[in-house]
Amino acid sequence: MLRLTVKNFGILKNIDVELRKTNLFIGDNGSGKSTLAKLIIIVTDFTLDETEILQRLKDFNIDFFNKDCVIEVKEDDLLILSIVGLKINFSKTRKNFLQTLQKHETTIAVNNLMNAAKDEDILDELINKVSMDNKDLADIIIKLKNNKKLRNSLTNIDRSINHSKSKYIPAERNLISLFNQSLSNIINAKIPLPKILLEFSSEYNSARNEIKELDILNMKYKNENSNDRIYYESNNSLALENSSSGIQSALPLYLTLKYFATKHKNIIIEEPELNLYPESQIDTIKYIIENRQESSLTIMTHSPYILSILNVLLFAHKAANTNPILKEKISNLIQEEQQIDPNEFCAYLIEHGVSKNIKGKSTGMIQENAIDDIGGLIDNEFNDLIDIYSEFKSDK
Amino acid sequence: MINNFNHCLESINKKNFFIQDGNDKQPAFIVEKHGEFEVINNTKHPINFLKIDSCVANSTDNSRCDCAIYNNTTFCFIELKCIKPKNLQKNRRKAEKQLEVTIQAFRNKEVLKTKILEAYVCCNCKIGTDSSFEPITKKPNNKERIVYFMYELNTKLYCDTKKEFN
Repeated sequence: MLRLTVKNFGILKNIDVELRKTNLFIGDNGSGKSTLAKLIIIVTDFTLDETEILQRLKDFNIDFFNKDCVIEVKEDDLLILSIVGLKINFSKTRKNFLQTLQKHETTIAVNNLMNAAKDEDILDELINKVSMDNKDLADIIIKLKNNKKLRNSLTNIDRSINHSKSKYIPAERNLISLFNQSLSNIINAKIPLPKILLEFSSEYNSARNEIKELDILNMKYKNENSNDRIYYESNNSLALENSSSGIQSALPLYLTLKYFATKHKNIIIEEPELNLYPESQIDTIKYIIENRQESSLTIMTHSPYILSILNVLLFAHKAANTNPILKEKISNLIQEEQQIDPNEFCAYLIEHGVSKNIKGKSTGMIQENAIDDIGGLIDNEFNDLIDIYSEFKSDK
Repeated sequence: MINNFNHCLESINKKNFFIQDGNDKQPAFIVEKHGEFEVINNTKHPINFLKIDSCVANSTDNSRCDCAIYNNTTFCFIELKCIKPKNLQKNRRKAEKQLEVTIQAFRNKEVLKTKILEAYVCCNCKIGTDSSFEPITKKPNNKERIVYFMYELNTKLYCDTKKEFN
């Protein structure tokens, strides 16, 4: 379990949150949710050294360092990262890990290239070409070529490094659906796109190249010769860029979640409800929980439907684990893979840069909160209108 | 503290009756028609009506719920709120708290044993400047409280203006 505390970092004034297997954040626009999401991605990525942390903060446009800011990350009560003012400090364990990583960085990168090459002839060609410019690099390649055990070990290390990285599914993901095919033209035209979106585009492409078909919201996605098609009937399809805004927002989420879940331990999702009809929001949350595998999830949302369905999935787990007879009955209604363990769940409201725990202590479920109150505000306005109109009618 | 139990208890032998909240520290009472909470009795036996606030429990801070109705199988705690709609959420949460406190106070009482426990938040909306009102039927999104009542108090929580005994 991780604990993150943040003071005086941009809009984040006083944040004290735990990060467990499933984490939920709600809050008004401008409350600091997005900043917090991006900060979580960076500080939970244990493969970043000091320079890389600073660069990532710039990439994410949250470079809010100042002399008063304090950021601490603890893992099971042990401090692993602290940022005080402008100084970044790592724990001894993390320093050692980063040193090992740096030591083997080149070898791991070369091994990855060699894995991608696959063909022996291409490898030999690579050795010849590299030998002419860089003897050290050539030596590494030769050493690896004849040592299958070392190569397997390096591949496993690389997998574990990637596993430590946190992945971000941004709210702007629908743009990928629109311009993915013309991305290279956009880049060549030097149109400034946020780095975070370019990174996500790259990951989306990796996901769609691995997952060629996927069921999504009563439709089917197929990657047909690098064209994204959405089949709304068995023989009728649309190009993704001509599909509904809901599908354009949902497909990048569905594909990348499934892709990330097998490879990375933390996934942060912004607004899974984007452009979706309420029923589709519910289906999407169930899909996310069911397909997350062992990844931790952090969800930022504005949707009361998502809060409601999360409570249903939490209660399903709670009730199912009361008794084996109950377990079977409940699992017939809510599949076991969709149930959320309340002990591994956290929920917070972010208000004016301050975090507030909104998880019921004994129930483990999300308490009534500001989003639920909005309905009341709307009702009050409506009732005031009725009073004004009634008064007018009776005066007449 | 729970006092004067028998003094605060009435047996109602009607098929249909209503409960009305008392004014100014008076306990809730039974009316024939147009009351805040409707009781329908489809059984052959009378329903017991227990005045709680300002009778069995003298809470000066309104921390107890108004009353309870019960038969051999089911015991229902009731909190009555007649309010302006804009105060609905605040009052509903307060009612839940009052019910919780009352259920805790009654926890070990003989009268609760072997019965199904229910708790009712009964909200009515004031209309105009006289004493007219009508039921608020909108259901709240209080799943967490429903689960809390079930797990911690062994009680089913409802937001309703009616109870039918079958």
